[in-house]
Amino acid sequence: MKPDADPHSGPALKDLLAAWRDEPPPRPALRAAFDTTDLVQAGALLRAWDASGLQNSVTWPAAQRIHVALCGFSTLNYLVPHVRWAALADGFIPQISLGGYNQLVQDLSRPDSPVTAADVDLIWVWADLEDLLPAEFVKAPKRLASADGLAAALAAADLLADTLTAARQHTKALLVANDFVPLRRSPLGVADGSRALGYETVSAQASARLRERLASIGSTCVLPLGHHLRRLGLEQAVDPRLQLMADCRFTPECFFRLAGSVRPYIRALRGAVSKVLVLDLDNTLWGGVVGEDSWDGVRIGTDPVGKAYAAFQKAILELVDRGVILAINSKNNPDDVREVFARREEMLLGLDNFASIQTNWQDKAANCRVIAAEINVGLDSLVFWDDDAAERLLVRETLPEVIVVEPPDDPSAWADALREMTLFDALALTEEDAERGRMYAQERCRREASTQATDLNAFLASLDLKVTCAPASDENIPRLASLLARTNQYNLTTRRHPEAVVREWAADPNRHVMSYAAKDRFGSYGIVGLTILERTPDAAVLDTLLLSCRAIGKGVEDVMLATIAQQARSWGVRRIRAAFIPTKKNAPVRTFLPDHGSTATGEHDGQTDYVLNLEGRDITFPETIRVEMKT
Amino acid sequence: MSQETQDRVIRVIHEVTELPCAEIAAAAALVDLPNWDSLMHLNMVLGLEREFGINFNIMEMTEVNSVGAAVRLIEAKTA
Repeated sequence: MKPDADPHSGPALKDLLAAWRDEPPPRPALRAAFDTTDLVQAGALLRAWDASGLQNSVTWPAAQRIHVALCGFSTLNYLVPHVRWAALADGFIPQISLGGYNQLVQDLSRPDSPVTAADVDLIWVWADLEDLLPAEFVKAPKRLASADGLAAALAAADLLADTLTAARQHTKALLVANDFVPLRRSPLGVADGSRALGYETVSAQASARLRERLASIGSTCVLPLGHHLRRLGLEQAVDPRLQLMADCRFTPECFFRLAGSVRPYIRALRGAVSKVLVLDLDNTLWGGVVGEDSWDGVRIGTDPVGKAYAAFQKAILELVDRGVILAINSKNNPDDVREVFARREEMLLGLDNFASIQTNWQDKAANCRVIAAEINVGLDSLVFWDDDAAERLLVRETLPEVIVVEPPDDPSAWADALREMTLFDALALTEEDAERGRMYAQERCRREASTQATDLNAFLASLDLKVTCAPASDENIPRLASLLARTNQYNLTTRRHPEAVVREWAADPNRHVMSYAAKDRFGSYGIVGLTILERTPDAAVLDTLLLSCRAIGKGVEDVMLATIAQQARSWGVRRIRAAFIPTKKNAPVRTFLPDHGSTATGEHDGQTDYVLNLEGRDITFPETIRVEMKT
Repeated sequence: MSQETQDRVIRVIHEVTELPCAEIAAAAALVDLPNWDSLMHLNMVLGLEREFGINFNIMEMTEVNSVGAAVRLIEAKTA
């Protein structure tokens, strides 16, 4: 993606770096300076960054730092600067720990290695099948394409999986392991294709076994190395000279690409996953301008150009299917737009797919603000796609937090570009993600109904809200982990506990992990809230209380408080200790504790501690809400 | 032997090692430089390829073991 103006030019960057000494940059500013698709430019940017000394001279907040550890059997030194760059390109200050050469197993088996140190956030594991196979199969690769070979390959996958399972005892870091990819053609030549069991089949089955085993470890992912190598091409990815000189398996260009592929994992760990795709309409969702060509003149789906836009819509629908929210930001008359959606059968997207529709003659940056407010997300959750360079420049300059995509010039390349974009990638998908589009359309209906209602209380009562409280279980833990990773606004402490920790606490009798699902007469919100309570001798400690932004202000908060009060009483304690840890986004929850009867007991490091006395106080469930308590 | 080529070679090695150019120029062999290892050697060779727009084969890569050797090889390739 090439920016319109070049913020990477030497003098401009030097000025930026100097200015940042006095005022540390937020993530969007770092992203604007460091994001690039060019390897040489990335290297120059990193050198400028290092020369500036900003890495160590500024006290960066924890939420803006990321610690990545690399371990493997081959030389990974070349990967280090690229991973540093990759973190900066999303606005995160990198700390990289490199494991010992050929020391993967040792590094992962000890609780105190540079790789498993307590503050490591992500461990990237580089292992090829050859590193794990017995020597006889490496010496005679032809033997791999046999029943014995398959058994050995599966055992090799198990070996790596066992190492990671053991590592999980020593570290809470996200474990990311590459899948197995053959870098050469079959040693059997074309005869490989006449057999049921071929060289590549064995590798694929070993990858499948690895994936199966890793899925049960928790906070562990397989990185699709094969996909990235295919896109780059093996001929560009591998240079035998590097292998011979330094046991370095990939070229600098390949390491650069692969470092880019780890960016979505870092963003997901820091709750920086984009949520909303904001789309223009004319020459973006269809060819032509509906105001000029009329609903039947715009090109969608019938000729090659129209098919390109239809393919783009199809790629957008794939995003909707995994929980991405859509919005329209278009300079048009609403009636013209409605006609295209209603009357053109070739349209794949419907107005029902959009959570917010801004079709007007207002400037597009202002529209982005309206969209963010309507959907109740931060501006930094928006990704803007518009074919018009002037509109893109306006939004980029006015709203630096919005990610503005630079689409390829040719719309026929858009479907592929959208599929390759990782901005919306989360670490895991839940059923809620597939439902999100429908839920936001319902929310649009609620908004329209509430603007018509004159009395807020009467409106809330008319919603007929029901809240189901259920303890954390295998069924809902993935959704709870997703809430912990994504929820920014109504979150008292913003602790990004990984799924492995939620699982551990769900089984702990001294902890109470509760999920809250809501439903009203318009439809189901799904699981929207989470509380984590810990039992201590003198009080119940509230580690986490969060609520999805679409459920705020309807009474679910009161149900959560009543539930934890009930639990605290059942533990025989008389008070709940809680804290409010302020972030840039959680102002909405700032007064929750004092509003519900808590007293502030002190402040330290920006955090305000509270105590809620349960004696002589009745914390009851709201009358207008039906509550179902599951055990 | 061209002074310009030599200066450019020394500059590449300086970028890789962060050692002073004078120290690099004075070294009889690259292995004499402090902390020199196979990775530095590889970085140097890749840096020279980029700087001069040339390609070394595996034998040439191992033969570039001094500033002088590098300059001779580069001049042969760019003649």
